[in-house]
Amino acid sequence: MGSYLLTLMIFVPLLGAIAVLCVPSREEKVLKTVAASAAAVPLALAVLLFMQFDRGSTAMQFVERAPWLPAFNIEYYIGVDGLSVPMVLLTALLSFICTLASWNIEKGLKGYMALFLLLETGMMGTFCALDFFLFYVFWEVMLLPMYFLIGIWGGPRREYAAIKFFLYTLAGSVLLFLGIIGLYFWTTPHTFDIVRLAEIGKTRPQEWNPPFQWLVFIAFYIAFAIKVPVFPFHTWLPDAHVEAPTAVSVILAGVLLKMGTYGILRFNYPIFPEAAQFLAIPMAVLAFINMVYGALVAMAQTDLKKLVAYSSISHMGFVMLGIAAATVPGNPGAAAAVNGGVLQMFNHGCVTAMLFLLVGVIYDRAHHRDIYGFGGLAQVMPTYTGFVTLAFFAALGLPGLSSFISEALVFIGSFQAFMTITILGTAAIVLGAAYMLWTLQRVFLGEVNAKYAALPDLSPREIFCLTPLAVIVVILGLYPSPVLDLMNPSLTHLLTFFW
Amino acid sequence: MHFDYLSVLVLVALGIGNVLFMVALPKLLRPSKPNPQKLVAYECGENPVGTSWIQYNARFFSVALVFVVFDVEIVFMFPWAVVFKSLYKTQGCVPFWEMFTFVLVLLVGLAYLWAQGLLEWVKSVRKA
Amino acid sequence: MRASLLNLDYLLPEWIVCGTILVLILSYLLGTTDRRRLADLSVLGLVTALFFSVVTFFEPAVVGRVSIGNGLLQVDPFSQLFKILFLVSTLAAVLYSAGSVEIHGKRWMEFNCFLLGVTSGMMFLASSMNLMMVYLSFEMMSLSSYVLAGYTRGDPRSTEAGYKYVLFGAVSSGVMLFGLSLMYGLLGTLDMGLMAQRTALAQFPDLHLLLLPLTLVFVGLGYKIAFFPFHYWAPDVYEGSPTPVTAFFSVGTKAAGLALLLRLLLGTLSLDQTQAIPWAGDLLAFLAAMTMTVGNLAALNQANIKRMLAYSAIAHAGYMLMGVAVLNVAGAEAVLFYLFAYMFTNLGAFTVVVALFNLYQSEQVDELTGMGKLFPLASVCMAICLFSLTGLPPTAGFIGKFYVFAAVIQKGYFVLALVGAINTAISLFYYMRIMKAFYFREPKAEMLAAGPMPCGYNVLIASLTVPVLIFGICWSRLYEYCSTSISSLIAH
Repeated sequence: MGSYLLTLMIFVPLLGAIAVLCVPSREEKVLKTVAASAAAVPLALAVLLFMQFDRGSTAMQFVERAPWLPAFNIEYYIGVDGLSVPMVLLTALLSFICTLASWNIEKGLKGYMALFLLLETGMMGTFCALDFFLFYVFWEVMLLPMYFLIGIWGGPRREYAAIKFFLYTLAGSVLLFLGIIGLYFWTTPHTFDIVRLAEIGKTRPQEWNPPFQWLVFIAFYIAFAIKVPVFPFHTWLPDAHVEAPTAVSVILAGVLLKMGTYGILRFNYPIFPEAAQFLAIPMAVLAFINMVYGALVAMAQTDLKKLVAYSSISHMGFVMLGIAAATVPGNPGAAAAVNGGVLQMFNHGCVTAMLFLLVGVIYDRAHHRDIYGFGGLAQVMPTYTGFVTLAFFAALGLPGLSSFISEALVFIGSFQAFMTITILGTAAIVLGAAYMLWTLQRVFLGEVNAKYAALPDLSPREIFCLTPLAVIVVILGLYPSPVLDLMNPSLTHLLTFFW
Repeated sequence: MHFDYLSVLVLVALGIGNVLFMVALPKLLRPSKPNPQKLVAYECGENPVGTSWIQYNARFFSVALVFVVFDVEIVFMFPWAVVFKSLYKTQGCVPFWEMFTFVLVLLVGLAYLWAQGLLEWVKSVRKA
Repeated sequence: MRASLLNLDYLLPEWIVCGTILVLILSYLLGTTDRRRLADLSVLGLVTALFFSVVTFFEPAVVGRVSIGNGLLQVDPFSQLFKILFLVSTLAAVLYSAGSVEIHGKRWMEFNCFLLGVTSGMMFLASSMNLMMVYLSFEMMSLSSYVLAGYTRGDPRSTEAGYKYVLFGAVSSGVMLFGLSLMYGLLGTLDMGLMAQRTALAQFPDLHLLLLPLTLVFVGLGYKIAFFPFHYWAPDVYEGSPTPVTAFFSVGTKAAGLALLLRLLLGTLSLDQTQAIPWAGDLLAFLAAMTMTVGNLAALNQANIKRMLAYSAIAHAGYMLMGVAVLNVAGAEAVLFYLFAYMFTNLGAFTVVVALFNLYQSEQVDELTGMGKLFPLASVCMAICLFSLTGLPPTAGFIGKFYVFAAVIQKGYFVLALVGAINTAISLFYYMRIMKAFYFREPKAEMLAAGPMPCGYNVLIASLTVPVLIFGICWSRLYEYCSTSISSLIAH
């Protein structure tokens, strides 16, 4: 108590956005510096949070609460536990890297930076909010800048992609909104307090009667599934990712997708453990479809960015599988599954961010992303190739790199719960390896394409952006316990809801 | 049910029946001698000149409106004038000022019409 | 209680508005034809009236409800809150028209008088406690607004708008009058304060009987508020009327209609009586769902920004009707809050439309491209207003929707809530079409030539948008005021 760490972390970017708006747009240097420092503060705070976080406790930490609208019991109530700290860390890191990665934005730099910082506020708030109303506010606040970032600074089909993204997400959000209000009036005394709701879910699940529980669970699930995105709701993703500018794709894939699974773990599971258990199998099936379908479609892509986008769908499938397996009663690997799932969220965030940054690098230079349009880049851009290889290997789950650990944990955990699905699901890894390696071969090996023989290698700024991610990928691949220890108590605590 | 309203229904039925009866009865009794003169609009015995579908000069409307306004004003002023003496005893000048305000509002309107030239029957060139 | 006549001082805001009309005419007669001067005068009058409305809202006597003219009028927080609403929207309309190219200089004074005439009618309507007074003030409002709709005489669209408005308006007020007379026949009194007592008496035959008169009155009001299926005049009238008038209609007259509807449903009958009227809630819920669906679907493909906002206004009438349909205090409070949020938001959005029309004489969405680059402040405000209309946080529109949905869900109308939610998503699409034109496209070459946005418009836009944000973050005070108003309304 008494620490304003989280509040600072949420609102410093907002202040930064306002500051950016006050800088005249001619002063590009100043603009960039202000934006980067506004994004650096939360990163520093997030690292501090990571250090100070009490790893033994399952309770919410760094809690701040103040009444907002007493008549409706709405509070400004924020705090973090082992589930949100990795996400907050990821958000802060990627946001900082992305402000750096967007330094070459040409048109409307000022607006871009302001929206970007606003977006960071939204994301931070979403991961920290412990009041459902507050959560919803941040959840939507995140949408608005995203719409403009895609729509103004995106690729040729940006208008379509932006409105599609917005409509899909909003359709989910309004369901979420109805669910939240329904939940509020269902409880006595009426409350938006997530911790209290989870307590009811744990101790008196009989308070939710079946039709209500199902309805709200499904409403929440759809809202979050659209964000993940889970199979039937995934079509916005390739459009949005492909059209968005590099930094925005990074945020979309690195942070926003995680909000879906975060939401399921934060709300669906603790509040409605019964429904979650009952729906474990359908959820696992959807996860399986995501994994395999995403990988298959990725394999068919010729556009590098689309390939990465579909690989995200596939990789989020692993997360979904892990968290679905966690609810199955008597699954001895439940802890492994849920830990793997959340770790995969973090790892995928880093890896996919790297991938999108790398795609952005080549797009900046060659102005196209056709996999077949390159060739032999390894000789032209050796440093670049090094990073790409690392990222690709990480994405395909090479042992020693971070994704391997999380994917292995997911499979270990889900094997006893859904044997068939797990065995079939490993196909996704094989497919993943296939498209990654093929792409690597087509783009970087073979004859040097004369057109691109003179492409410059990575600039220091780009290296500076990529290095922290690469370091994390390697370190977590060898020694994942800093993050695992962080989230394990909270996630294990979550499992007690089911037994 | 609410038989209180039955009487209304009966009244309505009687009313409609009465009208129908009055229309139907002459139809049965009178002799039928059609004549074009009988189809002409009745203008107090005069033969009508021209068709009745002519366009009136729009100025009639404004004049009529002004007239109606002051006509209604008189309607309001009569009862006021009748009881003014007793009002004066109990409430002093207040009723006077109230009516004054009322007339003032209308006078302002009249002045505006005047300024707009709506009181002149023959429009001068000034209105441009 | 003080003698009724002496309570006239509680009607100070009305007197000021009526006085302003006289002052305007007089100063015109005395030779002030400058639009600027006249605008200053009417703004002064409106601001003073607004000030006194606010003052009376807080006056303890008013909270206890002051009856005026032997029960013809009643000044209570409910009426005062609505008067504030009317005055703010009139103020906005006056300011729009002061710089509008649609309303020509010479006739600006007349235009303004009619505008103030509508306002005074609405203000009396909000206070009316007698069916006769209701009808009188309703007509005062309507007649002036017919003229406003057809104000630009040379423009065939405006003439069409005026003509349509008169025809539909006349029919609807006739129907409403019939309903009012049936109510009088049933209850034997014109005094709305007495009606609750009469219906509560044991010998009152049956609440069924009230369904017919209430429906007829509802039809009359439905035209004014533009509910389905009485909405079809709205797009033509809104499109054809001069833009300041459109803005005013979409907020002011709608609010006036809702004021009367709420007073009839919650203030005239006691709550449990209203709830006991069979089908009333379900019928209203059905109409609410239809209204917003029709409004939103029709708005999807509109190319004219005014027409789009007209359909959006219909949709919003539907959202507000959702709050009415639950027929309880929470719903009414939600409607009131929603109305406030909607007022700021819609007026803000219309300011941008008016300002752009003045610059470009265009109201086509596709022609107004790249405005984000040319007019950053106005466009950002427009964005905020559109998000608020959609109902996204952190704007007042979101809070309004939250209250309405909360009331609906609490009441158990889940299907209605779902329809409302889906409609929210639909509405996003067309609101974002405006954003798309403003931000995602480059400005056209001929658009670059227009001069800068007049400073006054920027100030107006910003001052209407700031409340949208403020009430989206700290709204509890405003909500308290809404609660006070509704509790003063409820018949005991």
